[in-house]
Amino acid sequence: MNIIESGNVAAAIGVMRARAQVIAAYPITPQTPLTEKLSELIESGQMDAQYVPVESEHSALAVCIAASSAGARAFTATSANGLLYMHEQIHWAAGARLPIVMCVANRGIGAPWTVWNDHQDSISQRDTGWIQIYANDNQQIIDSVIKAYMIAEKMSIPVMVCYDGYILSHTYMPFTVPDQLDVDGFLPSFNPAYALDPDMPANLNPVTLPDVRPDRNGELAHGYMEIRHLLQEDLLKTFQVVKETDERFTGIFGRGGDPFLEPYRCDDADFVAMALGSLSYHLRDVVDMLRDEGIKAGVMGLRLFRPFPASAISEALINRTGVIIFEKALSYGYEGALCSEVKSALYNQSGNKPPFVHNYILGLGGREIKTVDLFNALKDSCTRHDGKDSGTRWIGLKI
Amino acid sequence: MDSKTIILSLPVDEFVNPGTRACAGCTLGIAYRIGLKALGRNTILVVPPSCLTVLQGLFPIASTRLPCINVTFASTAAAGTGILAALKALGKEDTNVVCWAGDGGTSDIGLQALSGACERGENLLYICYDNEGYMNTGVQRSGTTPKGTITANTPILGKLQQAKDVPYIMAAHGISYIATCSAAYPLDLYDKIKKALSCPGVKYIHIHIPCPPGWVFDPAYGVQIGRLAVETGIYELYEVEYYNKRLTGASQKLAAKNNLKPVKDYFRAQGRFRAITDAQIEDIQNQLNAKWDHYSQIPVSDV
Amino acid sequence: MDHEKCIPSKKGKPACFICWLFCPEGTISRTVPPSIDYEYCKGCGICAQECPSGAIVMVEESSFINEGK
Repeated sequence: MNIIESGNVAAAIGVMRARAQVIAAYPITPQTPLTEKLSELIESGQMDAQYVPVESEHSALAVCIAASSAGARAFTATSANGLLYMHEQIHWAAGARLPIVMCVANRGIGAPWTVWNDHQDSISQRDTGWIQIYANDNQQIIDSVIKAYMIAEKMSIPVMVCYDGYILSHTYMPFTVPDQLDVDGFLPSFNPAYALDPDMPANLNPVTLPDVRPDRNGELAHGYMEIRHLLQEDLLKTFQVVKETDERFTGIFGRGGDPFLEPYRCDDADFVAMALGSLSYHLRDVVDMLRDEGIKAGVMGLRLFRPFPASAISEALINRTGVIIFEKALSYGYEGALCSEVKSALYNQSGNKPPFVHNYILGLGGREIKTVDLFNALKDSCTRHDGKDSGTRWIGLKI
Repeated sequence: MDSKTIILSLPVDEFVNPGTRACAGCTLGIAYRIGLKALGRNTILVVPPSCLTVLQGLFPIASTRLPCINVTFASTAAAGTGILAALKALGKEDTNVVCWAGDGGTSDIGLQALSGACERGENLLYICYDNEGYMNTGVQRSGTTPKGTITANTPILGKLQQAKDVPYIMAAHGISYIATCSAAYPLDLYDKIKKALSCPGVKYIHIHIPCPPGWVFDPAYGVQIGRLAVETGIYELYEVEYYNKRLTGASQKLAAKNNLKPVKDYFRAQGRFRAITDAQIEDIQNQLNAKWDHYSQIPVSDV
Repeated sequence: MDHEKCIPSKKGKPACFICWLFCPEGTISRTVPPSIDYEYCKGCGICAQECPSGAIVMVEESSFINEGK
């Protein structure tokens, strides 16, 4: 079924198709219509789930953590300050190895207050151990939510599906809604290794000492560090699962194929622009304009941000002349987060001289991103570079 | 209330193994042990950071024989909500979901989530064990620490502020059942938990928990001090059902006879009150006398 | 525990059991006679304080060790 709907509604329908069982909902711009749509789907009987209107985002993720621990497929969504309010829970969910899926409608963070789009919210969560997927359009939103549950439940790691606030969340686009029966064939019901059960009593996530300790049978049980090591190990195994999930999805639904990087005109590109989210599609127009002027530019949209597909990125970029990273977030006090991570992926690649890396910060707090500004910046990087990395440059400042 | 349970009719099964990491004489141990008998096997517990977290033991060994989820400090009632939602989604609604949180985790950092759960009418039993301070972290003042108490962060002047009345806050939510209990009256606690489990929505139980290291008294006197709190009238045992309050048990008898023990005995039995002067105690005694005079004149319904 | 003072011990049937009720650890068995599991008893003294017949007396642990118990 093809419909024209907003990104928030795409996400909501994806959650319905995935047969989430417990929804925790708290309003925050620009995610609110997602949870409103879910309440409509549930109250109208189209979706069978428990809808919990919590009193804060911290509680929203608390509900999901507990529900997932008790064996139910859980979902919540948030943005910006809401995401930050649940920050300790985000760490908790990953450490507790719970396959929660959460949508983040990307929005800038206070202070000062903003409701408009940038990526600081989800980028600031990159150290938490969650898998992070970025959607470039509304089709990718609905597809990613469904795939997210598959990946999460296979790896026992929570997944954040991020999409641009307003630009995607509130923008209407045509997309295909996967058939429920097809999704049921793709995504089995949630069957965790353990769920809270009086018939199998266990104490989940108690105080764990620095050192390993014997259990009541005298066998050494994992200490805190082993448990955390396992999370890291499993995150590194996630690349393969993301790839296989994408392949399986493509096989059934006919869409997908670029689970890590979505390239455009990169085959012979000397200069590759990179961005997260809808900006990577916006940059396609700019690439076309540069190509018209004979500059061999291309753009890659990074789909999977965590675990960070360093090998895929270095493989894709190592032979280029330059990589130009456009970001709607930065690690204050240093540079764009994606820029640092791409540079580290390119570091020490045997033999080749790595490409230069330029970093542009733009669109913070929803500052309008104009094609002409993107064009000027990318052209400048392509034609007037000195072969070296740049410091962070800002696009769109007015004062 | 139905006929009161006596010691000989308490269930014999234990739901917590001995050798917990609680302090010697921790009266939470009494309340928890007897409380779990009232809850029974078909129960899932939710526990935030608190003395109970420690009592339950360190990974990979647990003292409690029931399924339990440890949660972040502010999220107890929200986590309970999540379990209930999952059980409903999975069609397993007869399992008790019970939060056991301390006074810090209830009156301070956990109040918001608890309030939300009440407003949503979650079928949750929320038990606050009140040792009147953040004892697990070394005896810091909390929302329920009484005025004048010496704590680790009110070390010289004693707490300057009045304590919060959490059951009163709960009553404002209009929930079906609230009860105040004490570790010194475990049979009363048992009966009130049993009654609570049969009520709809959020049920709130507040347990007074004398704490030997925090309150500064010899561990042998925990039950005695708990009893004294009730017999001096400074701690009331009561129930509130949909806004209607009724004294129960020993407090009900106290109102009928109006024979308060001197509250000075309660204060001077605990080192934490050493900064409170005799004059302040006399003020408190006067207030208590006035209050219980009033109570003795209200008709006390026979439950 | 002095079983000549202990009420259930004297009666030879279940009675009292206040020590069993109040032990924070649950180390006292609800048996006739009741017995204390010294492996887990923390020596808090609540049982001794609450016993209505004064049947329980607190003894320094070191004296046990000396007797090889």
